[in-house]
Amino acid sequence: MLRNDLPASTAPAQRSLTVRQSLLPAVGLCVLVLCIALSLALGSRPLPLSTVLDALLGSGAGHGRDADADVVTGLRVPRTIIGLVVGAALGVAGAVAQGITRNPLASPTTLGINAGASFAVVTAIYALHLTRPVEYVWFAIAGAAATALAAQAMARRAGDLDPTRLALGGTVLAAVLTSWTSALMLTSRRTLDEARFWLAGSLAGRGLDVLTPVLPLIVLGLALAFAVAPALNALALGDESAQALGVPVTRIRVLGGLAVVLLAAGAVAVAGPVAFVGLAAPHLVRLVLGPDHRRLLPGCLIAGPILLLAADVLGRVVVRPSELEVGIVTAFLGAPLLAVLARRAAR
Amino acid sequence: MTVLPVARRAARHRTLLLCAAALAALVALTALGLSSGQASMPAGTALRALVGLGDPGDVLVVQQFRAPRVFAALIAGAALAVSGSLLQRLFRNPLASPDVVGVTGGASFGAVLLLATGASQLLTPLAALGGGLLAALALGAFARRSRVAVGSLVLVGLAVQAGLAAAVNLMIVRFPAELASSALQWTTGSLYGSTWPEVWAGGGAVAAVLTAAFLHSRRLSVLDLGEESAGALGLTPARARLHLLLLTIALASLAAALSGPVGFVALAVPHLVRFLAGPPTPATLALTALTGGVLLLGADLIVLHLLPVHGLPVGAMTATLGAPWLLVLMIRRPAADRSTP
Amino acid sequence: MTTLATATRNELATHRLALRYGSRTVVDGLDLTLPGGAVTAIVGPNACGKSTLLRGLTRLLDPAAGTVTLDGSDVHRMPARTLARRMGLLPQQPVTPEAITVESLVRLGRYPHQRMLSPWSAADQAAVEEALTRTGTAELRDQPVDRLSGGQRQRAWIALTLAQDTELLLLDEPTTFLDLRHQLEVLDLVAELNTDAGRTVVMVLHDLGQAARYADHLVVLHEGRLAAAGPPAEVLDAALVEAVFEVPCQVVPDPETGTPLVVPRARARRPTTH
Repeated sequence: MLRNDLPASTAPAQRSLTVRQSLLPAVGLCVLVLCIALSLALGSRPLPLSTVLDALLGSGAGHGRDADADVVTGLRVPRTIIGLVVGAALGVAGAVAQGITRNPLASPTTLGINAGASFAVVTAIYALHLTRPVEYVWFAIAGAAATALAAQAMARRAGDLDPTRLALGGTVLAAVLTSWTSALMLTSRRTLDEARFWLAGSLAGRGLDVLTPVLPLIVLGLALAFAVAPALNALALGDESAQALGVPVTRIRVLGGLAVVLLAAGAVAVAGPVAFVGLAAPHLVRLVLGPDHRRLLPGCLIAGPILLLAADVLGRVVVRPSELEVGIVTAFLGAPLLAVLARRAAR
Repeated sequence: MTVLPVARRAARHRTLLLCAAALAALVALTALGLSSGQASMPAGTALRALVGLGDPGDVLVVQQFRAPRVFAALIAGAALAVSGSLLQRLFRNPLASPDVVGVTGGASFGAVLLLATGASQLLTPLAALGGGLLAALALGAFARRSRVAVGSLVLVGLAVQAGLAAAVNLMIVRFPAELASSALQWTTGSLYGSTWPEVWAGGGAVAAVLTAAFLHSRRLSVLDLGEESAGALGLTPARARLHLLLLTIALASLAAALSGPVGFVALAVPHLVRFLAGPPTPATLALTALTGGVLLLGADLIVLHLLPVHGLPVGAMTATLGAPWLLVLMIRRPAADRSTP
Repeated sequence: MTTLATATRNELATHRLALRYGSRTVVDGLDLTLPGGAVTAIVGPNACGKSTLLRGLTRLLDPAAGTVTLDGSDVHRMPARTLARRMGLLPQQPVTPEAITVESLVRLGRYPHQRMLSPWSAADQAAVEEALTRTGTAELRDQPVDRLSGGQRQRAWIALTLAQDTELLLLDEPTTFLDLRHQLEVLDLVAELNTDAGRTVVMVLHDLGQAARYADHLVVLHEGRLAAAGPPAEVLDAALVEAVFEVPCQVVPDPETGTPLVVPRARARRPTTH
């Protein structure tokens, strides 16, 4: 009956969608490779691609490892890898967060995760006088996880997980923690000075050692996210329809929530709270690939890193020789992007 | 006068009772706010000092320092709460707050930019008001020109908000620590340095807009019925929605001018009221305004008098004060059962 | 401005009406007269433009071309409120505000009769009481609408349109989602409103038999154009149904009422409509 209601004119649209769907992964991957190349080549000291390749392949060994090669392997390679991982985690986390809450505004931010991590890190800076991102990692993970679990616990009732309450609970917790974070920073000038850079969200000044503790979390989170993807499609029809289709709604929501926590906690621990990638990536992918989560999640796996790396590269270029924190760039970039998306969605 | 049916009467009764309680709390907090401080005095003395009677020293303290701050808190709290309530209904989104129409970002940006130029701090409220209004109006113009649906407008609003927040963040990161601190202080929302001109101008404007909002409450109820029914009942939904949106923008911008973009009041008070008093009516709108005032003033008094640290902005306390209530109510009542008292 | 030269007959008419969603034309060049004082049923296959037509008639959708007139004056140029006092609409899927009670819902029907500051009047209350009584929802008045059964909810919504106190009522598939008893209840109520209160009713229906039973005037739409219009007994025949719905059938007299009854051929593919 639903099919009959569709006007005949959707047939060509359907076809163009499938054409897009088969072409786009390839296009997406090309763009991603381009972003990776740019991320390796561009910086306060721009390097030709050949130098980058030499450095990567170690073939520059003839004239000894020079400063350029050190920049590439020592700074830009770790930075790019971190960007890839964080971007992927954020993109997928956003898609799952929107799926389980059925709210297009949901993102790791609304579930309180970034606020939790920020508060824990700023507290650590305040109380323990920490100064290096690698020291923040465990605090960020703990803060993020504790907040997200608290939000889920509040939204649970009689074994049911109400998506509106989940989003509301997360937002409320985020508001509380953010205000405490501000309070800490306003009481201690030293904390403000240390924390404001971390809070802006950045990929700079981190080695791969930052990634080691969070990689298992992110891998587990991705696995969970992909496992619940088909069920998220059913969830989009509403709880009752999903239940009728045999989907254990609450369990999916809990598992999905866990995936979001793992991914977002991992991402924020590495790069600080980078806003917007988690919100924008799923909307972007949905626009071209449609709402099916089985395509949406892989799409976000590519779109998230593209957004994050592109933003990071841009941040290195625009105010050379200084650079902009990636979190600031994503927000600047994401804003018009989201506006365009909204406009296209209106058509 | 027609006899109201039982349940309606009960609901109205309950709302009136809650209004009375909120009003009592408001009066008590006002008295407390006027009387306590470094030179604390009995509430009666403080109230007389407010109208210029009694010891000249008391009069000076109450009239010049305490009263403007107390009234600024009440006005800003009421404006924020009502704007949040209207926004949540207009957008049919329980998470809507002045963030989604760009007001928070615009006001913060305006004020921090002014701080950056080193201009007089007395101009900050105007910069905030201007920034908030400009951001929201730009958003409205965009939505109108490109015929964006209401649901998508939230996305555009968040986009504007994020962009402006990024600009503010950038300034905070780049500023010298001293300036960064005052920028953060202001964007958290603070009532330090409220003055009588601000209170009179802001209060008058907020009162006017609130009156308009009350006059629109019937339209709002009709809008709740959805596009088609509202149209069939003689409302032009797009226009009505635009009018109401302008009201919320004005309220939120005025509040931002008075107190900075204090978080949480606009988000939480509508939910609190809905949990306590049930579905929206004009009476619950009044309750929303009162509760907003109580929350902001209460938070400010705690910041001023109860915290061991001095100089914290009120925005650091609203969420802490309001969240437990909201969370308890949320946990205690199932979602479907908010309606019947 | 819109003082009526002719008497109010509550006659809706369209002249070369075209309705579009974006670039998609749904209704094209429609000339139609819906007689005042009668019950008109609009029928047609899915996506033939029935609901769109109803939206065009109530000015929820501006015409791309042509006009809609009510007793000769252009509906799309009338002040919204004036029109709302003459014409009510029950949408196909009305939006029920969260936790609203039946009476609060019905009271909203008085909106076009109130001014910004006017208090709730005795006339308003009387209209609400009458609407509640007529639809049998008076004893449900304090119940939240979102907890009612489908039939009760539909009656509450009809009560809202009745409280609007218009001489013309437009109903978009008022029987969808209802079981047989509640379908008949709603249709009987419509018939009663027409005979007792003299209201003009225009409704979109899916069931041809019900349309033939309850309507004085039948409008058959097909792909945005008028396929046939007139009294059901004259209009509804096997050739038309086969042409419009692509269902081979025979049309026999309804054993109860004598109105035409469409009986699809056996072993033919059945339409998946309800």
